[in-house]
Amino acid sequence: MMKRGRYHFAAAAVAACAYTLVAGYGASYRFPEVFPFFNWALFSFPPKVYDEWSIRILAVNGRTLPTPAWIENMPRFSGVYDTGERKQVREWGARVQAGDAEGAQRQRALFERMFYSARSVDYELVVRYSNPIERWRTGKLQDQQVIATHRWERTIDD
Amino acid sequence: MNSWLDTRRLRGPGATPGPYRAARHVAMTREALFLVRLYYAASLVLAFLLVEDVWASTLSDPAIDPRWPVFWLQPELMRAASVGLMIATMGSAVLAALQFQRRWVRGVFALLLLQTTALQFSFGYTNHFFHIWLWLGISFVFLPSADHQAIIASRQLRYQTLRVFAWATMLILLFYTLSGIAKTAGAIPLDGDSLSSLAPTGLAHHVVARMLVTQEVTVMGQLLAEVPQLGWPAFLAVIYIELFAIVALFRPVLLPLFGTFLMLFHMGIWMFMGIGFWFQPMQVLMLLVWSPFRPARWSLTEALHALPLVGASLHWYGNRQSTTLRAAWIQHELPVLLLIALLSFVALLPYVLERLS
Repeated sequence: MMKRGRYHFAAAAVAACAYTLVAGYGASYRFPEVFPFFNWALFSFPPKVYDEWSIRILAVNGRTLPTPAWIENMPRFSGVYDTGERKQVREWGARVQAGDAEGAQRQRALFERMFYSARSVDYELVVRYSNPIERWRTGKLQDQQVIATHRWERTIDD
Repeated sequence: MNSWLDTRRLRGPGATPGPYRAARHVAMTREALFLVRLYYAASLVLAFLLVEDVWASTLSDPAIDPRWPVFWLQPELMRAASVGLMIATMGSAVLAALQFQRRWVRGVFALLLLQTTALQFSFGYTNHFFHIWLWLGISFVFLPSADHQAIIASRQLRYQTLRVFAWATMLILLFYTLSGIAKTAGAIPLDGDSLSSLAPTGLAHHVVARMLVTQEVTVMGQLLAEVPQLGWPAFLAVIYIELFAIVALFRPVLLPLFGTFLMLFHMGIWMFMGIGFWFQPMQVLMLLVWSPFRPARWSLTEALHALPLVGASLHWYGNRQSTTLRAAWIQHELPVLLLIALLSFVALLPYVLERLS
């Protein structure tokens, strides 16, 4: 007969493996994280190429800007474009790259709430590639791609 | 029979006493109950911080992407329901601080903590500041529902208390090991966009990329951007301690050593990356450094002999006449490596299957 201690060890091993499996499956974009199971894969793959997702504003309230402006440089929006919004844009970009159209649409809707101070905004979702250390030291980019162009308009519900 | 379940194989050289040494049960139970009391005292602070954060999100963000525990939260009633949930969470934290001996009180607190953290992560992105605290709260629901004097007096209740505490310890160690497994897997980059996690500039790339996301310059981050190789030894040490954290469950002499390192690690994350894991050092202090399972008299030499990948060689060096290095490794390191291999297999299986499909 199995000793009591061994029974608890076996139960703990099964529980640990079950947690690990649920957390692991929830880590992919096809199976979103199953809260509160988390796989704790944090800072595992150092980025050689840093993908910097950002928003470039083309027009506000129907008036085209003289030159397209990065959202963080526009006083109108920079006050509400903080770390949380940057992460939302990254998450949006990650879902676009993963081919998760529904997730991308949801992230877009969540992000666009920050435009509340305008009536309409024309903008691009842009990804800029760089070596992070070079980017930090010199600002140098390796590549830049416009992923999508969108127009947001305030509705009655907004 | 069942010899593979014999945890003595994982105890390592020096055979440190296991968590259930009968002579120390009363003292260990007292320490465990003190830490439970501390948990519910700190939960008061945590509840305030959590509710403050959720309240700010609720005010600024009308639309939500609800997590499953808050499936009942209808968009049109969200603000009213959120306010009710936050008041209930604060109330349950106060009640738990006063009456944590009662299981139903701990259960209500854990349930509301689950709800409020789920609400916190229903605004488009997730962080993991409160996950371990939540899992501890869920674990502590299984503590006996009795006054502490009654628990101390009953052998059965003492066992139950220590067993729950061992489960909570296993969870926190498992989380660190999973993090270590992912970082170790990162040693082999799967595409051209990543460096190996073992590369000398690996930590610098992480830190600088983080600074680019947040646009917050940290003192140590600026230094790493200038001298990227400077973070290499620290990152290798982090990977080692995290990967083998679970071994401390079977070698309790490692609990204070790993715990101290992990506290410094969390403080280091703030200095390098500006991420304030304010509650994590306290969790590690409570569950590892102050663990009731730590040896009554801690010795650095014993801890060094218990270190995975190091202990067997030290043991062999001290006993060269009676054992061989190969025998020492097979006896003390192989079971540990098999345990880590098993967990790595389970942890990485979903990634492998996803890539194959």
